[in-house]
Amino acid sequence: MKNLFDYRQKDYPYHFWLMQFIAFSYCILRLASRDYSIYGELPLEYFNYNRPYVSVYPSFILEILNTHFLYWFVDYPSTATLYHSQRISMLIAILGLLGIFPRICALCLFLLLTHFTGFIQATNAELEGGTLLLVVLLILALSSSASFYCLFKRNNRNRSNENRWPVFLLFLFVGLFYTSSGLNKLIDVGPWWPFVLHLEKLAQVSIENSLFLTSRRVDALFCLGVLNAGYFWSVIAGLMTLVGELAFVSILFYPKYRLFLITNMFFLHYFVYLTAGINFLGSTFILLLCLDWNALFRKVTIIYDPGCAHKKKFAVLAKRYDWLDKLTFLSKDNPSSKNFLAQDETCDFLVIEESSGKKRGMDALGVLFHKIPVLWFFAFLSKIPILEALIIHLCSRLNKTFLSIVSHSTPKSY
Amino acid sequence: MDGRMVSGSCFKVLKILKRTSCLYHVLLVGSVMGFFFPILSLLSRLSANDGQYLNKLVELVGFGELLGYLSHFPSWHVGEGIAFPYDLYARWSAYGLISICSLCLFRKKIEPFLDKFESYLIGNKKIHILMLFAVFVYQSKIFAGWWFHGIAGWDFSKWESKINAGAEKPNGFSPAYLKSAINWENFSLLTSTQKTPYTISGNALIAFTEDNRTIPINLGLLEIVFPDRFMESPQTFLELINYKIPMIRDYQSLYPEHTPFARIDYSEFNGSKISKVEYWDLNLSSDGSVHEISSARINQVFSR
Repeated sequence: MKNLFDYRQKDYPYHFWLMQFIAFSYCILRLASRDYSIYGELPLEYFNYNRPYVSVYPSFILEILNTHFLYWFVDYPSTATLYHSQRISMLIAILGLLGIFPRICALCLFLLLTHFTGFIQATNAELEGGTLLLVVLLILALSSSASFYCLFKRNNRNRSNENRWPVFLLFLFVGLFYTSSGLNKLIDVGPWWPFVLHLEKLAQVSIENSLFLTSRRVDALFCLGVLNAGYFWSVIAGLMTLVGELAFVSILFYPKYRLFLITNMFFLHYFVYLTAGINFLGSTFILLLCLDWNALFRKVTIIYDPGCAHKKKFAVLAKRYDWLDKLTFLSKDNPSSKNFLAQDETCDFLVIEESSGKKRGMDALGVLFHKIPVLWFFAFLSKIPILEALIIHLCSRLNKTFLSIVSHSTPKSY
Repeated sequence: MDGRMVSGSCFKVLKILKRTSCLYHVLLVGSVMGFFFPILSLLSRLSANDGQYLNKLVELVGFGELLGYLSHFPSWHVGEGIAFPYDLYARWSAYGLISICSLCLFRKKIEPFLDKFESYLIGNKKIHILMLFAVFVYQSKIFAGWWFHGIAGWDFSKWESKINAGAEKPNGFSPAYLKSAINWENFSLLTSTQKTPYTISGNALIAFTEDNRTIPINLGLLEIVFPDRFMESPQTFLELINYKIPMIRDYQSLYPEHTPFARIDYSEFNGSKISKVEYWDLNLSSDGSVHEISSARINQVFSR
């Protein structure tokens, strides 16, 4: 897999910093808008892990994993204890956000939030939409202390392997989360799931329920739209969801359609919120972390054939618009270019990105689109399936040089 | 088959397993657990609460002598609200069985792929262990607190509209405060989609303060994902409502609950204690121009 997001490479810390920022910010948001203290008011008989999803196995296993084994030895906490634990958790999240002992903060928050979620699992539900946040916190807790930012000191911005593998692990777990949800649709319902989904029935019932204020929060106007769209669009939406979920793990090794898959999941969460009153919107913050943000910072070396007028022209053009100073141009006649090429390897146009392999043709252009701000629109378009051909067409209309790069995609020696 | 043949076969299997990768082992063990435990869990549910559910089943099906043995099965389920998701568990178990068969029958084809995958990930122990954990959780269907085997699949094919054709004549008994528990805007919206008069049924929750004021409420007030089960005990329900009522204005102001309920404007509510909650069954009728509560009946009263 030549496009695999290889965890063994070195990388900049910016993506990891974004992980730290989003995880702690989202923690603060969640903790500020939740109230776990009510679990201190519940009678003990409600703590019986009765939901089908959590009770396949004896509950002591789950109690060990969600840290509720504590209550084998001590009483369940009072409302005051829970209230103060939640406030302390918020304080820890603020410290983590500022970069003060962020690794310890991430570990403490992981344990505390897992513990809070344990109350939900014991009494009324399997989850509360915070699974991906817990994963990010665990990854942060396992990461190297040197990778975190701190607002009160000068941070190391050098490329390091320690900045890269946590991002790989995040991609892997978010990928597994959605792909396993897709597989569950096949197992729990069957491969015909999109055809029996019937979103129009959901929309009808949701509008009817919304007449009564005891109902779940839905957007009646949006539901009306889904109802009018009918069965055909329900099948299309079902197919998009199923394909999007099953393919989600490919964000690890198929970067081209990462944006498409993430956008697809964002719309899925938003539509579910509007039609079914189930809130997974916070997961979209974590979904944003599944884009390769370091791509905006990595430097690129371009080896081109000065004999070809188009490529030379492109090199001049690209240099002019390289406002972020990310590109280094090397003529293939330059002896330094030999450092990048294998023996007997020749090239007309080769792009070598930091932390990544050699890219040719459309892949090479895809990398360059990210580096030159005036071409960011093409970078966006290139991530939409089926639009690749359109981009090549657009590029060729704009400048023959683009086409010449794309057309020389086959290496003479690879 | 004599003892030597059995031990010989076991030895062969062990030898094969020794050669296989860690990922293969995890897949196999997870699948075996994923096959057995959903079935065992159903048996445990049957024998829960001193065989309470089993007795009901025996009454329903018969075969008392045969099913009676199940009451001795050790149960890890206790208390009310134990569901019997036999269809879901049967599917999980079948998936486990298919996984076991595939792993055994196509071992030679699967193994190189698993080896390649694992040899790449083994370079980082944290990634390797967490990946094995995720695979094990998926195959075994174990719920690991912070991680689980993905969102379940469900559909809405059995959901049916609650609309009945024809408007119901008002029966005259409908307290004025019930009107505050209806979203009249959405009522008009629904009417715009109907060509003929109709009636629809639903519920209302009305809380009475100690100074006898009324406010419409819903279970979202509790900020619990699936709060329905707490309505079963009137005392607990009222205590929970009274615990939350002073915080009513802060209710999910920043980020909604996982299962948010309809928005209710509490800006004019003074936060005083609730002495009683009425749970009403309502019928709403519309002939296209007039929308009204055509009938109302108290379903339950929660009071101290």
